[in-house]
Amino acid sequence: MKTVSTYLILVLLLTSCYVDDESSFIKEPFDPRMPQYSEEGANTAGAYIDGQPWVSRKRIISSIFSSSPYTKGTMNFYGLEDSSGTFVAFEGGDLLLDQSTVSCSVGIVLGEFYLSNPDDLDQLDNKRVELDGTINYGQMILQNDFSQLVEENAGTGVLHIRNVVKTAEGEWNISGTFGFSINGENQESTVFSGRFDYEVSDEQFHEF
Amino acid sequence: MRDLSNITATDRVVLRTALFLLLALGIFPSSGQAQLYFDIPVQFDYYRTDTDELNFSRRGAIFNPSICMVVAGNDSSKIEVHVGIGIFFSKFNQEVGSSTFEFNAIGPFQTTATAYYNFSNKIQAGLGVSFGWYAVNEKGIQFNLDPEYPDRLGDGYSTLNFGNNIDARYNINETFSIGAKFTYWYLPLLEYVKIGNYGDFKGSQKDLYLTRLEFSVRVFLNSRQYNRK
Repeated sequence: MKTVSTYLILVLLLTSCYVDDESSFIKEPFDPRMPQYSEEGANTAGAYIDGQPWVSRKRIISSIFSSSPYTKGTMNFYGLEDSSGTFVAFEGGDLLLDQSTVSCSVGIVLGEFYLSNPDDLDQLDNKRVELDGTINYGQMILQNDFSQLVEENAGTGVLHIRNVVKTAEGEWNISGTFGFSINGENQESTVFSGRFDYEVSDEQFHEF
Repeated sequence: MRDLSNITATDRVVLRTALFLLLALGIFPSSGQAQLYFDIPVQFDYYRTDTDELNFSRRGAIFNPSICMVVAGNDSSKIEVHVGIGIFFSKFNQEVGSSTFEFNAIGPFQTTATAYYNFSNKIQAGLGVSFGWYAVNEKGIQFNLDPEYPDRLGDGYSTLNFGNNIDARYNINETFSIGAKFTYWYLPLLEYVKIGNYGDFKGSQKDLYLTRLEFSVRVFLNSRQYNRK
């Protein structure tokens, strides 16, 4: 009876979690830890945070202990209050340290653009957005807690939107590169050599 | 793995050349003018880069036999011309931070053409050209359950290379020969575009060069003196 129980627990544990990979990780030959810049809807992002590789790739994790699947590694668009801009977030990434990984998300506040649905992405095509630290700025959040924007840790740098293409009705691919540095009161970090390539649909647009 | 549905014009030329050489290897020996032999080397590949940011190294020694023939040479000549055909095979590691990635460069075609000078009946030295056609892939089978989102190695590795080789051999008897060969491959294996700190693309750069040292035994199917008597 004890053996049967052990096997049942093992089977339960093995089948308790299923990961549906919805990203193509295209390894960059120069540094295979990072996704290569692409324009195909690979659903990946990457950057060097303080020199360490940070990678985000879309995955849907199902568990028998949870009523609905959990998606991580997504690109989401949050409309800010009074349509004052959009917070673009790469959520649920992993910062790869030497012996461990730390959950980490990267985001960019675009004060000049209010994006409420996928068709609004067209206005970003081939835009170079200066992250000046006030209207537009970068954010880096450890442990993926984006409950509020931390304006005193606003990052300055550049966002390049390099490719925006409509693939179907209400579905777009968006690719770009970015980099910013944060010199805040309680955070000093660099988020350098960033790249992203995502499929975007209506379900990724929210209110902040 | 390399997508064979996207064969380029260059690939077609290489395939035709390979086919021609294979046919030649099958036809010439029967004419009585050429000798076939197996070249059985242990191959050591050395990788070097121009920048400290890249760290590549050889992964083990490689056993990579090829089939060759003497296409010109007779009892009175001091010069022999040999051609060989086999597969291109090289193994290397890339170290980045604390991570190590293992790669294989494998291709269906590697050929050499070498002119030898016979110092005596036992000792000969040669100068030649080498050509390789290959694809670089990460070691191991990539299981991909979702073909809509395949993981893969990005663009950047070359598929063709050519080099020069020098070769010194000692003919033990009429069947066996031992020797060492050094090949200097000219073309860089890797071309990459770095993304700058603030997301700007840097210019394209080429790097990663290969040199090869081989120690081989050759086994002649006909007596090595077949044409020299």
